[in-house]
Amino acid sequence: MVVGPARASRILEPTTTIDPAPQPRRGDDSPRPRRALFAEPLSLDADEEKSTATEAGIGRRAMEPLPQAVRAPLQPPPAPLPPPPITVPPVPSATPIPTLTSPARRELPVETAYAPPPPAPRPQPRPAARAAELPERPKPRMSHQPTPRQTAPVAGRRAHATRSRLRHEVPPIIVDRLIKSYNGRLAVRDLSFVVQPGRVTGFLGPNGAGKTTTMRILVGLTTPTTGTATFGGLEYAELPHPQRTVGCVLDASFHPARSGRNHLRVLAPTAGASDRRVDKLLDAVGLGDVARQPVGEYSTGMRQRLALAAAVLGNPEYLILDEPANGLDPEGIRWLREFLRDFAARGRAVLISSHLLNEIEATADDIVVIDRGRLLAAMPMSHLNLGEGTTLARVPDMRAALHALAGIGADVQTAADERGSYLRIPSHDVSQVGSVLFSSGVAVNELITERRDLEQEFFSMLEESR
Amino acid sequence: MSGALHAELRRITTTRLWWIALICIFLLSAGYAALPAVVASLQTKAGVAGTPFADPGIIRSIYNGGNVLSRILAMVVGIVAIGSEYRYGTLASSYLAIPRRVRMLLGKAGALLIFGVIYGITSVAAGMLVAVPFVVANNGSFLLDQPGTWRSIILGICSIALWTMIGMGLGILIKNMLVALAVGIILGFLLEPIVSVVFFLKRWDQLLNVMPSGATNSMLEITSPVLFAAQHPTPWWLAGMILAAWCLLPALAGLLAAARRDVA
Repeated sequence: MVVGPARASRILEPTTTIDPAPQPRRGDDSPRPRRALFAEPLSLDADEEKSTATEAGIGRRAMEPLPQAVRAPLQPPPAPLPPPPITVPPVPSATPIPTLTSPARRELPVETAYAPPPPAPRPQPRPAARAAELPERPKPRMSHQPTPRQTAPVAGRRAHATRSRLRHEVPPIIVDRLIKSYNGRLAVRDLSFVVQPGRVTGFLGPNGAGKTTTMRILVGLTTPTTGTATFGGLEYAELPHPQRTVGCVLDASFHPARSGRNHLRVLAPTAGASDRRVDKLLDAVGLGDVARQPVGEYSTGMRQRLALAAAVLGNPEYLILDEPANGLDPEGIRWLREFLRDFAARGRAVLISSHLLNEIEATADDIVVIDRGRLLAAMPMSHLNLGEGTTLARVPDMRAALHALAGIGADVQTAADERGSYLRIPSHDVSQVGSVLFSSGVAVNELITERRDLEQEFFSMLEESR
Repeated sequence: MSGALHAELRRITTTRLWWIALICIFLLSAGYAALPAVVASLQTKAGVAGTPFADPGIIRSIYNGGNVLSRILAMVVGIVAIGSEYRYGTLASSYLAIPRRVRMLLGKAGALLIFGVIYGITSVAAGMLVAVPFVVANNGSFLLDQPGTWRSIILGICSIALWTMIGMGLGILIKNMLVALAVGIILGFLLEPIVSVVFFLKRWDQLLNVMPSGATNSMLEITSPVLFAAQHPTPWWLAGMILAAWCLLPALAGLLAAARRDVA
């Protein structure tokens, strides 16, 4: 991928924006009724079973904060990790959600999110996989800047201490040089990225890019050819209580004759959930009335909600969601967005893939873009400067307009299309441009803004890589 | 491990197959137990020497009369228990709950074994219920004071449980549930009996004894020529081991395949 100078400088430019979690989204400022459709909030609070388990000192290994090396992925890779201690911190989920990042996180050195761990001796890929690797590899877009949340201004120490107790951050998900080869065809090529706690990470890519394969490798359903995917240093199969650690929506497959309630009840014993929690979750996702009907009678959206309920049954610390919005109605999608933000705000990590780019734009804090199994970009959404745009002005007198606009400090360029010349002003403040031109007495024929959104960014990333 | 077993028990009890199979096993066992009972009853009326309803061989064959059909139905339950997971794509959610695949499959095997025992008890109970009117009417004996009778009852139950395991092994080995069912039923009802009859007619007792049905007959100490049973059966414990090998063979092969296989 060739990154133009203008784009590169924009991406790598440090930002000072304060981005508290959860961050309100652009165009999303007005207070909205929450969970209009879903009867009651989907509680993530540890239920009685889980509390008992944690009090007994079991099943919480993955919750333990890992050593610094794991938190800062540019440090040497997590392996070999010291075995995480078995002792358990207080369950944080029942506490109110803080709105700012915990000081523990802020005290870290410049946290190099999204940089893949440095090379380390690894098992070599099979010859077939190796041969299929392309020689010319576009460099993925990376952000090595601290994420905006870490640059938030420091408040009083006491307040921070309180918040750090309220918010418990899980270790990141680290995908480290994953390769998956199917009979010599590479589905995933040397893929590395990090899913940070406390943030929603959007996982984007066209069909066949390797998103689902990567997610299936993460949860142990597919065996990678080489590489690792770990939750706090542990692979999925090594987690002492997988359902209490990772919730997963991959494909909404159910036995058609089993009722929705019974589907959850089958998963409940290993998730440590009671029938009461099952009923509560079914109500929360709006399936309370049809809970005892066979899943074969459910619509696609209802199956998707059931899959979401199954994912959070064990009150997990990580969510891996592959197209969770498939078939969901608008209320369901909005509920999901709110739910994921709340989930992440508690210091937990979410990896979500979706083809609804505007939905990812509204939900995700970070994005990971892949194409044909390769990483194209991994960065905070804030680094994309979405919402900013360009103002296009068509004026009869270009010279006068250029002179007038010199004062606003933007690098105004002239351009032309089939309708003639126009000015391209790198500002999305159309009123400012208009008033400057008006006060300078410049006649204006047309004044429009072009706003950048995730979809444009996504396609430009794909085009640059091809 | 208890969580895995609990989950798998719930998985079986939350669909209809288990109780449909249970009712079928009860009714078919009763019907099949009535056959030797009626034959013995006719012999009594014809004035054949002795009282058949005091003969341990006859009584045992009534108690275990349903075994021939019950074991096939138990095998079907075993095949469907794992085959429906492949069929409906729910194996992924099972592996997500218990990612250690051997542990998950052991949980499944444990749950199926429990159901196999329940089916075995149902089959034998149906046979015993059928025996009641015949024994009472003919002044016979239930022979429940003889250890040999109890051994036959318990081994009958165990053999049906083992056939459930054979079904599970087949289900793991053959991912397509319908193919696995066809293979299981053709093997159980057609191929295996035909081969057994050939061995029986050729008097190849050693070969007959290692066939699944031959091993089951030896285990139950059935020597009736009507059931094409070997005249020189292996000891019951050896027959039990042969039957266990028959269920472990496909299960182990399937386990080795499933342990590394990517889940679709």
